[in-house]
Amino acid sequence: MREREDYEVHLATCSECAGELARYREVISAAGSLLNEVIEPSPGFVARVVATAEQPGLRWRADLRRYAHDRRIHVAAASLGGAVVGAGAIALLWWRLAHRAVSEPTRVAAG
Amino acid sequence: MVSRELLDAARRGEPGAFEELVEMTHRRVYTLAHRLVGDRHEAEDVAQEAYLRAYRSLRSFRGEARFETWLYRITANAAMSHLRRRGRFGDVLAEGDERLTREPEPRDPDEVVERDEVERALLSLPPGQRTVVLLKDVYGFSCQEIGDEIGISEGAVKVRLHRARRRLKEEVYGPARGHEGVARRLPEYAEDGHA
Repeated sequence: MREREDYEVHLATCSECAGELARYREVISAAGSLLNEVIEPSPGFVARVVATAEQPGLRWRADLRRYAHDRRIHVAAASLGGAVVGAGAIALLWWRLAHRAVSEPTRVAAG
Repeated sequence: MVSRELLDAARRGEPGAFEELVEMTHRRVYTLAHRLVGDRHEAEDVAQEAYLRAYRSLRSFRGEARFETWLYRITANAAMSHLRRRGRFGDVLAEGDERLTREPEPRDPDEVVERDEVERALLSLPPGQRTVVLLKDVYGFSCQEIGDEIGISEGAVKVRLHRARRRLKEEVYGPARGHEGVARRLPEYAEDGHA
């Protein structure tokens, strides 16, 4: 609390720091006024948005296009693919070992 | 401002109601998207995605906040998703280096700042800083809401906001003047309404 009072006393007595505070306020205020500045999208934007939202077929295509560009989906698909290949390799190895374990005692018994 | 009647009509799916909602709000939604992603075409994709999400969730909008505020949140969220999809997630969180993009024009330190200058200075900020200062100082989000949208804590948002304000001020007016220890707290203090 005391620190804050010291700070305020300094700002009230130091013209350099008070000027700097005023410049911060000016920039923050100018940023706030940007809310009323708008940029126009291309012609037909509203019609495209409404058509996409209200027509299920177009919406489905928009979703598909979005997912096709989604890097997270790419990573998930690659991970899933890797997991399937890995699981297949382990299953094959296990099957071959199990097959060998069954056939070898048979050969010994026959010999 | 969007009326309660229009919202109810859009929720009921009355013909033309959703179109009227879009017509009333699209310039500001598109502008926010453009300021966040920094590209006209990508901004249209983001704004369109925001409206799709809003259309699907209209029934769940309870009216606790203004419809426009709700729409801005959806737009900010769609912009973050877009930047992540485009592989710029790092950019969203990155704050960039501390160097100014250019030497500011010499100017009278008491001169009033034009909006265009601030717009240009905003675009020169790294995306991580631009996002927080835009959502806070232009669109009036709380630090908690910003943190929820970009996935960082409220404290981290405040730290980033102060750095962004300092850089924005320096882009417009040049390097800090005054005493260093005092100047460090000014980005936070400037908002308080003291002194």
